[in-house]
Amino acid sequence: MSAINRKNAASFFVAVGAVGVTGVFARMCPAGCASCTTCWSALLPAGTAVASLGLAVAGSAAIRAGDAYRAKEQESQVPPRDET
Amino acid sequence: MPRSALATNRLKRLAVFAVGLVLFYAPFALLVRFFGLLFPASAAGTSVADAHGACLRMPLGWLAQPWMWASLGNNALYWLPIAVLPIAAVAAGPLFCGWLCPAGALPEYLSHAIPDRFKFDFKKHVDIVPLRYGFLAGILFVPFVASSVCCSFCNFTQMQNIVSAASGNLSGFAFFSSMGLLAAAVWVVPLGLFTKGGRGWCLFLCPAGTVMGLASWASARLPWFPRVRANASLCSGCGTCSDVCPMRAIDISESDERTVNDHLCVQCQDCVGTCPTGALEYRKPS
Repeated sequence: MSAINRKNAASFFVAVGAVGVTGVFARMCPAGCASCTTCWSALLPAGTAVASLGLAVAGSAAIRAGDAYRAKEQESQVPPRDET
Repeated sequence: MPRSALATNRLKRLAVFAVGLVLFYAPFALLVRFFGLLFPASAAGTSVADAHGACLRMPLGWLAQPWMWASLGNNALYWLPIAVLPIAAVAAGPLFCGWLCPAGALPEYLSHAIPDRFKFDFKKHVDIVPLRYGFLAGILFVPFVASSVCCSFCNFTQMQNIVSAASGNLSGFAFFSSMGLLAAAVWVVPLGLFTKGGRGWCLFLCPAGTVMGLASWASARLPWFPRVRANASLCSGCGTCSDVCPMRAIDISESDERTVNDHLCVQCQDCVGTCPTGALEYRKPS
């Protein structure tokens, strides 16, 4: 798997995980009616949904920044070509 | 001249978005009422005529939930996000998103009021496409291990509440509670007003838009279907197209060449009129 594909796959699974966490918290809600759009007692899944979106975006940004840093490191480690 | 072409295109789209508002949202909801008249015993005929009668999110979630398949037979409009819109996206790209969906248009047009220096450009910091597909996969498959989250990330409901309130029905505000309030705030403020292009919600959290993007990308190379396409030989590399694109769909290669990302492009054609050299066109592949 190339670096680009690894990076994209990581972002993909970060997003899946973010939605998964929201789903788990929605299931844990004591009301259990799954009508979170209309319910004041659903602050836990509501907050989780928003927080997980933020975390997914931040996670993807971190993955991208890390990838760019690694690429730069590798580039700097390439020995200069001998042109003699 | 290109800037006036951009303004004209945005005005045209605004007029078509108004048609979308009348088709999908109460108190009009003409599409739902029409199907209600055709099939009085279906969900479109028996429930309140509003955006929920033509929900674009739940039917997609049901695809991965065999125990919900019976619901798909209860309302012909539930086939909109599953079949009608993806097939339309194959034929002409996701024109629904770029020209008809008021829930996408509202934050986009509001964001024009905020100077760009205050906006966050997701394209510069995250890989939008894998995140977008990740959210879609989550919405489809998370119900197997936890609860359905379709409604937890719904902006159609919030749009319906706003339209209802504007038409004098303030009961919609009763639904601005908890998740609704947070979803509305995130949809309009950080992902709308303060996002470059104003379509942060469409980029990440709309499953219908993501499915249409996938259908559009899969068919973009076929010779019969038009899409917004860049002509590399005419491109001067000025970057105007990328700057005005609400979906951040125009990529710049290392050789400074523009390409349109078919996963994201909603065929709004704001870029087409704006390009000073005419390098972008809505056309079939040559």
